[in-house]
Amino acid sequence: MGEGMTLITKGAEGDIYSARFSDVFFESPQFSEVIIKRRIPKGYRIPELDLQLRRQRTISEARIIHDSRAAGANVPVILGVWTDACTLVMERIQGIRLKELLNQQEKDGTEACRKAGRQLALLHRHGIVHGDPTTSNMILSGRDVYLIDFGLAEYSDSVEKRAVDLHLMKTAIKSTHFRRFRPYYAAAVEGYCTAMGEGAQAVLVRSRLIEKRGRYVER
Amino acid sequence: MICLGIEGTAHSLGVGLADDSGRILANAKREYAPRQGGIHPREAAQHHGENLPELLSQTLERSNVSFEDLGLIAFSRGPGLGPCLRTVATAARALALRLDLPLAGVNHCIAHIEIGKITTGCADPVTVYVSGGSSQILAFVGGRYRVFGETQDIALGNALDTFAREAGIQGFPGAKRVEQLALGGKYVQLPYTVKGTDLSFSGLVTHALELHRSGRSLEDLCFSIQEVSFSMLTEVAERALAHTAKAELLLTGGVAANKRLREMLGTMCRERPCRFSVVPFEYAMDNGAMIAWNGIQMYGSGATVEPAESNVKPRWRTDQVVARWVKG
Repeated sequence: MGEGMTLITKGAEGDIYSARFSDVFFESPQFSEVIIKRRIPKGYRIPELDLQLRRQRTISEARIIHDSRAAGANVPVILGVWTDACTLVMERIQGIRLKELLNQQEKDGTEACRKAGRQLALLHRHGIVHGDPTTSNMILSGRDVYLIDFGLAEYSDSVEKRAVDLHLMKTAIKSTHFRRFRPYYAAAVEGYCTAMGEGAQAVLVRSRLIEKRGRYVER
Repeated sequence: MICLGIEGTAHSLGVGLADDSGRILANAKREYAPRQGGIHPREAAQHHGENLPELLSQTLERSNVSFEDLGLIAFSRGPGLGPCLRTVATAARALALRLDLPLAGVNHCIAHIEIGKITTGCADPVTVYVSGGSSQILAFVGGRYRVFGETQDIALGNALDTFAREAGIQGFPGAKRVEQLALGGKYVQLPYTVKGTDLSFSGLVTHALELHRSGRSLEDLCFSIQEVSFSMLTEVAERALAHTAKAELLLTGGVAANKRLREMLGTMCRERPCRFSVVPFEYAMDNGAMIAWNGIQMYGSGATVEPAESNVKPRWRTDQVVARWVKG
């Protein structure tokens, strides 16, 4: 690894690279490109704690993405987990980020928003919350919406955490495309409720309360 | 114009004088120290009531300021312990009415940020405010000081003090002894609890106390509690910096005295890079000068309060205050 890798972003959590699948593994008809996520050491932490946290989080993120897939959600396939290097290799989802899609005036993003809401519900129904479901972390690939970046995800059935997820999605849509915010968010909620079933109402009510707290800043 | 500020949210009683150019003319304090255990709110309030008259006249006398020179009275309106807040508020109202001066009800947490800005020269920081009663990561966004992350249970200073007390470490304050003992310790794994941008310290204390009972050395536990809790705080601070795209970090509150915490935040800022400032100790602890200075700022933006409506706010959040005096 190393050659053929292109740095995409340096996040607070780790560095994200893209590479060809064949550079990392072998020729495959199924996968062309991969994403490599490396959690880099933080100088402020003592090495023991630093390694412990980076390893735990690498494993946890791989596990949650894998479980999300088992729950029927559209997420990248995890292709490799290098615990000692704190590195994940996963399928690169080709397509357009919802953030960009919703910014295109000529296109209607209603259906994509409905699908995004549905994807979030699929996670919630299986005891997973995403933690950062902004439109930057959603990709329209073909006709499907995929969720990516599970760095802040956790296992939880708490109504509060589900509501925070929904609220984060709302503020993301609001700031991405204010003019069509209402139909887009309505579609997302509809997709969420249809897939979520009975539990959806409590989450919606709580997300309105969270909004009133005014504690979460617009993204 | 000179403002008299009175601080009394917890165990410290502070009297400070500031003028409208940001000059601090006086900053005196007296502290209530419990004979045993933690702060008893009623006893602390009694301490403030008994000590305020003398502290007040002494402070004015020593700085050559008379009651006639004052243009404004400011007091810590919240958040804090109800009995303490009410005692100080009563004194402030009495002074305002007697001297016929305007009254400003200051938010204690915001006062910490503002005194930090004026004493260190930073303009628009992400603030890490860690004391015995508070642990918050704050930043100015959209007209208010927003809470980006905070403890979901006890404050960091409280956690360190509680561990010290329960583990039988002698000396006050406990957090300071923990810092000294930590110098000779090795790392033991303890629960690291960061949930998004929120923190939790109570599980850490409970676990460390269990290990203490099972015979683990105090040095190792003190070292590990510091390493784990400070790393948690640093991680959330870094996330707040990334999220807000701000280029300054400000550390304040009583725990800012800890060298290891300063070192960790400093390292993180160097790696980013971003400017790092620590509020001078005198102004990092609870103090009257910060109340006086923020009172001046509030007065300048028209945010005074009538004595009849100046009820205290024990649970007052920073983001409930529209900070009109801040530019940007």
